[in-house]
Amino acid sequence: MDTNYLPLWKTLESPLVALDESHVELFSVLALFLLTLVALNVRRRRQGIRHLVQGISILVFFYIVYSCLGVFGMIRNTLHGITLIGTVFTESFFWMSLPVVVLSFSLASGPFFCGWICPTGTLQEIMTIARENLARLLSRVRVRPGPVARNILLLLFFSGFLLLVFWLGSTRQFYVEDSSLYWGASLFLLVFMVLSGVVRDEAIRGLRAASFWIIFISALMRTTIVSPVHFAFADVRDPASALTTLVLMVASLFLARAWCRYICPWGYLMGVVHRRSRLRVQADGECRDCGACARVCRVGAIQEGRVRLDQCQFCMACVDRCPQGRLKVVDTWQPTSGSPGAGS
Amino acid sequence: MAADFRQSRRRILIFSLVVGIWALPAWAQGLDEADWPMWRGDERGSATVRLAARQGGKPRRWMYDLSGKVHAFEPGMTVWSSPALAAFDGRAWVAAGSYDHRVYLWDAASGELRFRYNTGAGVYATPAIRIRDGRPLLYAASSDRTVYALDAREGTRVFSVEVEPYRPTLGGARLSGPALGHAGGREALFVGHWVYDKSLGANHQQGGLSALDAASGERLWRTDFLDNRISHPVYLEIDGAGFLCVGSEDGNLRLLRADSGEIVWLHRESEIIQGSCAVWPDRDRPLVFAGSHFGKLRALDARSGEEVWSHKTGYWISATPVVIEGPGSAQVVVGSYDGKMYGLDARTGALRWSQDRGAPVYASAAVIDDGARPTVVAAALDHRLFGLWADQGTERFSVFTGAPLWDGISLGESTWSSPAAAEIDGRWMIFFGSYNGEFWGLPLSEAAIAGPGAPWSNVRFWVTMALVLLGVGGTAVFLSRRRVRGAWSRRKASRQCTPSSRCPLPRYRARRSP
Repeated sequence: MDTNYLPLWKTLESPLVALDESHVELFSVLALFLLTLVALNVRRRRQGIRHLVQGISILVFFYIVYSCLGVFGMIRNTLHGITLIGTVFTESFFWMSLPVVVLSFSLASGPFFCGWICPTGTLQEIMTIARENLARLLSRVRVRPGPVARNILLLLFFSGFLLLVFWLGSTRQFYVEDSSLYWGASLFLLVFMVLSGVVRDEAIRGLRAASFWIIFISALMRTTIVSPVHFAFADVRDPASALTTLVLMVASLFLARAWCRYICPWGYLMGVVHRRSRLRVQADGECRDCGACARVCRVGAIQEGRVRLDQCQFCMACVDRCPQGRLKVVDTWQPTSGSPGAGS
Repeated sequence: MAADFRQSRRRILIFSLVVGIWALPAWAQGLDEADWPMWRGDERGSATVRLAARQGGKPRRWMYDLSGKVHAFEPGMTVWSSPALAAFDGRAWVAAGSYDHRVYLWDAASGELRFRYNTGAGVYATPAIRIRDGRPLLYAASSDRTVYALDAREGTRVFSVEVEPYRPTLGGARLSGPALGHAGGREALFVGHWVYDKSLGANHQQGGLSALDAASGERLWRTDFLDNRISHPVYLEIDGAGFLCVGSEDGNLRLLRADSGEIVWLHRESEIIQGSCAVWPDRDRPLVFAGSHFGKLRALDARSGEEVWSHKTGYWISATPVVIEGPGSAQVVVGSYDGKMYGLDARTGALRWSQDRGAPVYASAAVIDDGARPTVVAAALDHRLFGLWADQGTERFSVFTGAPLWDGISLGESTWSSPAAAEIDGRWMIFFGSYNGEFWGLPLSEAAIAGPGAPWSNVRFWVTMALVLLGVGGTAVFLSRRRVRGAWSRRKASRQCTPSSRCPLPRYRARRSP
């Protein structure tokens, strides 16, 4: 006998309880997106405001967002939510709400989730800014570590990571959920290969697609792989996720936004969406080839004088930096007019 | 004279028949009814019960699979409540809560589902079962902050009590396993609760213990434990008075008066107390046993809280100890995260045996007394259910219970399901909610002949790691070389550009190296 009786007040309450209060998370993320949309239209000190939004987003994600919004989890949750449509609507809503919000906003207004909101990206950017400040400090005292010293340091970090994983494995059995450690190790390897000149940065960007399809297929097989930064959400204390987070932060010390460049599966999806999105950064008018835009782009999305849509994170740094104002945010759904106030 | 004798004999016969007819159901009821008043069944923590089932078939191996029904689960948290056993209506029953928000009741012998009841959130605590005036009541504590009293025959709600008010914030709640006892002359239900309402604006964590009237749900008293999660309460009687033994995550072990919730004594540990107490109700000196994350198993005088002895293990103790009474002595058995099971003299704390399991032992042990030598049954993080001879600690059986549904295992984070055992019509069964999403009913005879199962090894992980690194490195080199060849061909083409033709290369190349 299957008893489904609930008291009336429970029946009213249960949609919210069963959603693990996801309405709060949803509202928080929506508020973040709206805040970013407003900030996108501010012309002065836009990068400062972006960092402020990133700081708020870290707080929101760590303290409010309770479900998995990790880069792997969002793909898995979307698929899982789709499978529940028509059966358990409330849970379908729970799993799909946040990824659908991110994708819809990205389609309508560009992939600013990556550049303005994503906590994984923010952590990397913090490390890159720290690296840049450290380099500035060292150059003042005329210390400039060469590429050999840099590579040795990176190898030391890589070895330390493997030792930590080995130590972790002495008390804990690893399962497929811990596969994010493979992503972490691969990131270290790729950064080392790029910095030592074995492979070219732009040539291996396509690995993000492979990363996406692996996660996609594993999600279809109902296999969970824990995302980096996931450990900070909810009360999950997942050491594999924590270690991978450590890796992507350390890798960003050597190469800005390394995770976003080579590994991030969600970044690949955002790149695909960006090709169809309403707003995008586009070159317009005479260019003096000063290279300021390429220097300021942390993901190396400006190559050969063009903005690569699959790499652009819509941080607007290039728009703000271009001395001729050649780079502008344009509305591709209405090609004749630009986005109000978005251009410099 | 003879007529008188015949008449008196007839009277005696009729009287005997009346008495017999009156007494038979009561005798049968005494055999057929058994309840489960707290999370390990009794204050000794033995998690064992003898049940007489007049109906139903011979106990056999069964399994109820819930792994396909999982929509949401909380990694690393308590996945299964431990089983609760009872007998009524001539059959033996086993109940457990699940993270799918339901409470289940199965026929313990066959695994046939009697009912499942939906609550508003995961049921992580072990239910309690009491047969009151022939009516079996199942008490389930759900993480929707509510205690449900269900009619165990029908699976219908008798009453429900919200022990903590709902708050529209981000946190959840954990309720500990209800314990039945007496408070103020009434039969009472004691339940621990902990809420962690988590938001920037209103961060609110509150632990507490409530006593409810077991018949009506009326709240008798409530005591707060600051912001700490508390262990399953254990009800015990000392010198005729009722008490509750409760541990909490701030390292305090308390003995409370069941009548009022007033603290009798408090023992402070330096680390988390996650498991519950076990009690040896010795007349001369009743003892309370509890372990902590400090790794020490302590025996305290139940009357005063004074430490009688302690034994240090190599790592955390999260399990509840179990007391096994023998002729003239008693033994306390507990598992530790150092991977060992320990058997200690309950009176002196002297180590009788220890057995290395090779993996952290998280489960509280159940006792099977099927012969001259009792057996303790527990589970470890190598996902094996094992039985040890309680007198020497040698292995009797070991069964692999399947790879976990979700590992998320951070050592010491939670207390997972612990096994329980029941003798049903002379045949011993072990009940266990395994971490792979299955609930088992396993005859002891089959467990004893089962193979040891798969070993714990991370070799596959490291082999995969090597293959992944080789694959990623190789692919990166392949992609890079292919692209370099492309760049060369473009460069060659650019040399052939004339001022009048359109150059295939853009004028600007990024100067910034990655």
